[in-house]
Amino acid sequence: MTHSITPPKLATLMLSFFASEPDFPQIEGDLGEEFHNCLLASGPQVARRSYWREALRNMWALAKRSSTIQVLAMAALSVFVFPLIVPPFFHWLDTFYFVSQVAGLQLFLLAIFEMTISVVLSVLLSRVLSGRERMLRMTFTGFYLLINMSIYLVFGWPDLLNIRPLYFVLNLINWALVVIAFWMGSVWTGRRKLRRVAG
Amino acid sequence: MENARLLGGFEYLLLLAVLRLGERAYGVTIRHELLERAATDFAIGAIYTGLSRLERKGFVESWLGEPTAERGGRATRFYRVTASGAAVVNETQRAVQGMLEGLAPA
Repeated sequence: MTHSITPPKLATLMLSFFASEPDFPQIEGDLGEEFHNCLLASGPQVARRSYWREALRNMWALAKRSSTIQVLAMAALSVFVFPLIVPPFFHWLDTFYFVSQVAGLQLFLLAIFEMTISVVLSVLLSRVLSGRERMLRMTFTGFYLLINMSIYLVFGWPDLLNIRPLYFVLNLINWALVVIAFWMGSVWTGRRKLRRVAG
Repeated sequence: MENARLLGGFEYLLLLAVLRLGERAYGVTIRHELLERAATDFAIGAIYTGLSRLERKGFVESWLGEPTAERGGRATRFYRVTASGAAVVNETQRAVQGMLEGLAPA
């Protein structure tokens, strides 16, 4: 019967963010074993509570390592590349008369540019932080969406108030494309490395 | 006189726990050993971080055991102290004892 009761899935998922390869995948097994022992000794409620407490303690212990801090810092810095290079590109596009004449062309070119930057950044960072691509992707996504939503809420509030709803939707699509491009670049780099190792 | 290689407090405790446990040293047992004997409750993540540092220095070595159902199909990573690890434990022990000599217990 005890085998049908498993550790809390959300806690395990959160822990795997810090404890997966190339670090310490055995931590999940150790906590699972402690959960099982606690389950037999004290019942499911105590076991779940204890598992959550231990998972959070371990996440904190693992998050303080320099390798984790390095991934967080790189992901955060890469997010700030966009506000630095996108506005100059936007103004450069403005210098071409035909770009402003074709409806949506400027936005399309801008999206392509941002996706390209995103792929290049993800490939470079995935090579530097080899083995930690998963954490890199998750952290980049979190930071990117957080920063853009914050900027939008500060400067783009008229769009949110239905004055220009289309702009808000286009921005959402743009953010999604940048994040998808980052994931694609990172997954591709990871698979390429695996193929090279296998070959 | 030759400079002795010395361990930090946490590393020293970790090596002693692994030495005591012999071939049964892994995250769960090391944590329980430290809790029982040193009355300190370390997170398993902190224990593995310390062990990987010791492994890089050549003081411990590790190998993977068999995965079990109660561990959710995950393998256990066992640790054992190397000859160089045992030597550094002795050196640290001598240094600590030398410093304690002549001191009244606090």
